[in-house]
Amino acid sequence: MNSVNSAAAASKVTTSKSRRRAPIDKAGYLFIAPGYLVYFAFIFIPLLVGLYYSFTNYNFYSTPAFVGFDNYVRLFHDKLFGTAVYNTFIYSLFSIFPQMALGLLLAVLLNGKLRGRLFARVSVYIPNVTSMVAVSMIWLWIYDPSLGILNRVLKTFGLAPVQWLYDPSTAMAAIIIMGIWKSIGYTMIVYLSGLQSIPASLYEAAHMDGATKVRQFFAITIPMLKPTTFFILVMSCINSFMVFEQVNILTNGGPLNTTTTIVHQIYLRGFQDFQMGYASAMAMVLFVITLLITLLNFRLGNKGNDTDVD
Amino acid sequence: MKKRKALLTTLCVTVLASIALSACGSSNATEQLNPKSGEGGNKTLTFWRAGTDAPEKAYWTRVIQEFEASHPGVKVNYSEVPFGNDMETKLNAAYASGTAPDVLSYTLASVAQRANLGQYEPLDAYTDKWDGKSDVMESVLNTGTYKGKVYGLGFIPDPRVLLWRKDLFEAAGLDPEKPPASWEELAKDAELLTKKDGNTTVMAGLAIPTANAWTFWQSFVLQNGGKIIDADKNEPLFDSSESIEATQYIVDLVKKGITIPNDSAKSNENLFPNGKAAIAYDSPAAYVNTQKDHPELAGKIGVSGPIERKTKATFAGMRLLFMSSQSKQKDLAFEFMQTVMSKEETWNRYKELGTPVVLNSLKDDYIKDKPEMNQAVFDAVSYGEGAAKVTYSSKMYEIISQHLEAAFYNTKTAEQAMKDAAAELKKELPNLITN
Amino acid sequence: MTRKWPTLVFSIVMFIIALLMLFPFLLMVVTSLKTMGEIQSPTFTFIPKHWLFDNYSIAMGRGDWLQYFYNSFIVTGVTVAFSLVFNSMAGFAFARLRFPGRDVLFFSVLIGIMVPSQATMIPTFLMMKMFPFFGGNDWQGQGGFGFINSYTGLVLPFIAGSFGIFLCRQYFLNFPRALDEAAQIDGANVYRVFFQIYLPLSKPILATLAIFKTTATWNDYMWPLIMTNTEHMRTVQLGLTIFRSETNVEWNLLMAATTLVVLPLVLLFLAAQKYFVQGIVTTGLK
Repeated sequence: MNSVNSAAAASKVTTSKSRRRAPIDKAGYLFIAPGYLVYFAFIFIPLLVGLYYSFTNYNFYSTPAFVGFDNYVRLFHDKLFGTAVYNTFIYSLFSIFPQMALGLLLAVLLNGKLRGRLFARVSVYIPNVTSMVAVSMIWLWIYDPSLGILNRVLKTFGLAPVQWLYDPSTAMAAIIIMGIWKSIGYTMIVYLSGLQSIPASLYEAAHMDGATKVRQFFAITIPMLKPTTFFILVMSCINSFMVFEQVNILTNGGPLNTTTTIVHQIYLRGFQDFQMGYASAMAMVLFVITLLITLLNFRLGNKGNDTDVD
Repeated sequence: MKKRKALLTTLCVTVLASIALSACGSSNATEQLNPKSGEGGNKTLTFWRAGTDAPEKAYWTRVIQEFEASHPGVKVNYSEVPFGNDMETKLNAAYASGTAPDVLSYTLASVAQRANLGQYEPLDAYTDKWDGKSDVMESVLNTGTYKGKVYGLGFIPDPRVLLWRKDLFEAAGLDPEKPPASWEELAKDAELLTKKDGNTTVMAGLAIPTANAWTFWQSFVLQNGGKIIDADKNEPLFDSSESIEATQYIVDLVKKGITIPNDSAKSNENLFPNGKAAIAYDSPAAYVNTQKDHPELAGKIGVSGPIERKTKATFAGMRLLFMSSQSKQKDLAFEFMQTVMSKEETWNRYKELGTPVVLNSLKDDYIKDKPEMNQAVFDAVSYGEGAAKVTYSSKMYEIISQHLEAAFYNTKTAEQAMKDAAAELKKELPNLITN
Repeated sequence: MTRKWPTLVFSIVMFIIALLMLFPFLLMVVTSLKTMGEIQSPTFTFIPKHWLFDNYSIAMGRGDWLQYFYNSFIVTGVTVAFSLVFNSMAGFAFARLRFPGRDVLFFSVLIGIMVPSQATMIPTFLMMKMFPFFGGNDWQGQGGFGFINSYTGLVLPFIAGSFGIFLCRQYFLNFPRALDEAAQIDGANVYRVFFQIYLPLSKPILATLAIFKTTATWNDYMWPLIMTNTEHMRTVQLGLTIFRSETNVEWNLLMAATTLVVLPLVLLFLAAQKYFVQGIVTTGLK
């Protein structure tokens, strides 16, 4: 223990000295080169192209004509798009926190030596691994008003059956539940790998000091997981804002437009109505929203640079 | 020293890998795509069809084999794409990049949009010289016509006929051989046949979709003498009194709970083939599938033409053959289309796939083959109408379906739904008509 | 031995949770063993009447599934291999190295996660089609098909990504400075630090990345849909559409094929998850 502390102390001294003449790791550029180039070519440039399209009336075929801010003005007055934005926020709000909390809980529980740990880990992860199409179709059955499991269970308890996907007041909840179920495995895995980087020595020391497991969880695990939590939060925000596939398969945006989302609208306007310019404008708006939220996360999470570095 | 080594190794590996990848990739695949005619008159024709089911695949494999045999030096590259927006996406990517197929088997709903964009090639120059043209049913030729020019040749019709469960009719005390002949009778029968468990309907008297209901709704509007849209003036006509009357009829039935909520765009929710409806407007394919999946119902399903109220009308989809305007093998493409449209192949399609015939000369044989069903189907094909031929049809029907849904969920009256839908369409039109 | 009780209760609770998570998957497997009549019958029975394992061979006979699996393996394998290398290198650089513009470049990478693929799909497709010198294209990218319908076309846009770089960077941030300092005292340069110290300690994150990337690539539907034209190049996700027609879905066969398609991912997870072993990092310090 002490050797680590003194090494850390020593390194702090050296760091502040060397900062005055901070050596530049030119190798850094080389390291990021392949990844960055691929990213630049296949994501950044298409993004710029999309930005360009958003100022045109591109329909996939004819030469696009410049229309200035028309698409954005139209977006502003588009009630359907407004509904989609609202729905997307609702979905994100109610799916992010349960999925993170449950994922963390399961990761902690399944980290120690437990009988059947492997079985539990695999079971929790399988939903994430099955394609959205297969998962959606299974849940279509589960939610079936007359034959579905959920309603049968309700029936045995004497409760009235719920129309789930066909009731405007429950459709979004049904989609959220499925979304959480599918994503818990994802957060669990990232938390599991984050848990590996917490030195066992910390827990041992706390145990010797007489801390209970619960106390250890709140005093050691959660703080040490900050970078991981930050990462999951950012990714969950971004992913839930892009929710699309399950909406497309389960409800197609209905009933009464209670489940349409931003990406669903982009898909419909772009690929059904051929209005790629308009759809690109929507994509830009989505991008700005996600950017703002990510910036917010970065500000609150202190750039995710929490531990021992720089 | 070590730095340069690492750098060199990385570079070499990357370059080698990409060469290897592109080599194995392009050698077996892109050459297949390349339609440039090579030496010795080797020609390649690309043919895509929407739909991935096995029976039709077997059909096309045979047709292509025979075509290649009778046209030495010609290779047909066949590709299948799933129906729906997937196909739209793929076609958009293809036309945008100039890689669209020479011949395409696709839906009626795509005609207006893609003909207008100039993606489909007008076929009049070819059909005028084709002696098979006069044999094609007039309604079928019309489906492929847009603004006076022929862009597609319809070859697989998908009309909606009236299907009913004779066993359920009997059990309810109705004559199993007499389907409802008027709207009033239909409503009465449907109410009688509906079975509920508490407040939930478990057997629909009449299968009415509650989401994407426009195909069902259109049949009733047309039967009542209403119209959908004036294609030349781009004016909605579905807020007329006839149309509102038809809408009211449907909404009343839904509110009485004679249907189970379902989305017509999701083929797996189709009530009749799932055994959840007593009467339905559905395609002949549903008739076949229901008996296939429920063998106990063989012979217990009735088929008849749709109810005639003021006019004979029903919804009829169509699959057509289109030619790409970017094609470099237009003559060959039309030859292929001709083969598919021949009397022989049309009859083969009926025998192998059960699809209705589109040629006048085959009418008698077709009806004689299964009189109890095929007469109704043939009639439905001749007066059936598909999606309105305007470039913004998908958006228009989206608007109509959503307002219908609102009426079904009792948030507005049928009349209000139609008026609101027409108003919304009028507001959107300037955005939709850009080319 | 009062300690045994909580662990037993624990195990039971975990078992129940696992079953709940697994239930829809079990439903899928059970459906694959039924007849269509059973599936659509108004009375629902969980256990199939006859266990029709034949459905699996029928489903596999419906298309060239050997080829589809082969394609998916190649595409997924190559993509994941490259992305593990490129992403970990970039993540390491962003986390541990100092160079001008580092934070700006990192943030620009994050931008990539925030755009839906629907918006970038078509421009990327056009780029693949007009890639100069490949697939019959001249130096201007005209005249041929570029990377369409090829393995390269399926792999290239995905061999590095914002998500992977972000994940690796966060992981590498966790390492104590003492590690780099100790290595530098030993005279190692940056390359040695990465390849000989960090990479070996990165098993958990590489395993995590491998799992995510494999899942994403294996389950990708849209990109292979527009990128491939021939049956020869189809991936397993496209193969699953065989069981869906315009009017009908063959549920039992579809579920059978889906079970087989999901299996490799489950096996991969089983193999990779053993790397989540505690204490790998800390052994370096002691």
